[in-house]
Amino acid sequence: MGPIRVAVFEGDEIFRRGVVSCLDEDPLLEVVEQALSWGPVPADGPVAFDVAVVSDTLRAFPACPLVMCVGANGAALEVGQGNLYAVLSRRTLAPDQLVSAVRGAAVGLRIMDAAAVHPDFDQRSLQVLRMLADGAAIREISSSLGWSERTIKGVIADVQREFQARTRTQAVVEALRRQLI
Amino acid sequence: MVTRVLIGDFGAIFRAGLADLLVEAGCHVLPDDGGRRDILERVVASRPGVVVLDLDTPGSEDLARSLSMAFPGVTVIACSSAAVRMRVYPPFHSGESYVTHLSPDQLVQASTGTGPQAKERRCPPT
Repeated sequence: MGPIRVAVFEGDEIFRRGVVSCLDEDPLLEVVEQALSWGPVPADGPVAFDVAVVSDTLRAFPACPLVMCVGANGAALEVGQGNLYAVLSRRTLAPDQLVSAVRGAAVGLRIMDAAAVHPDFDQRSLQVLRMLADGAAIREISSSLGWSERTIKGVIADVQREFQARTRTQAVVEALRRQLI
Repeated sequence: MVTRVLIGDFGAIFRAGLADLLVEAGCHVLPDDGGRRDILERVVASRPGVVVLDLDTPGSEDLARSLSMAFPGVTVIACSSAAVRMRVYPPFHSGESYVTHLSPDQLVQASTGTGPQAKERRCPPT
């Protein structure tokens, strides 16, 4: 059995380079095509790849298992719709997660990234949550990230509200449970 | 002389794309330390010629300006993957900057100092 043939259709050239460089690291994957968008010619013609990594900004998608990297619109998408096999957050996606999702899609495994369904959680909130999970105090977080203590408290309050958590500890536990951090 | 580039805390995939692009352009991208040290410590320790920061991180514009003032010989680039724009602080410009579209070509030109000095918006230091 040969490598899994992967196509990458992504409008952001820098992000696309990142996707391709991460996939190239995996010996089971072979990137056979990459472009800003997908334009089938003819529209119903066969595709020459097994899985496509796409962004949610494309207008057309190939008829093969799709791994979609989403921005703020991720919540509107659900894994299992048609040939959508994975929805991943662009902001928090790690190379290992991307490779695993592509490998999984090739064998029919469907994956929903928890961060992709919580678009309200920006990188700042996740950084603060990670530091809280590491046991850092507000002052330490403030000093480390270069933001005021008031800002840090505001971020934590937003997270608690989102999770309906009564305490910071409960918010951190909830973030861990949802695999956001 | 090879340009040494320090990339700040971006998402992992975008960072990989930046690194791939800059390495292809002949730059030496300094290894990521996994967020163990803040950017100022890393600049002091590694003495890069270019620092690339994430414009989407709160406070990054202030940080970029401060770095530009504190390290006059360093090109500081703050770029946003979300807004597809970047702010460039060229070396020895006393904190002055310009904003331009974020594209691979523009980023490489700003990093290597090979681009035309087209300033869409020149902002004096504050």
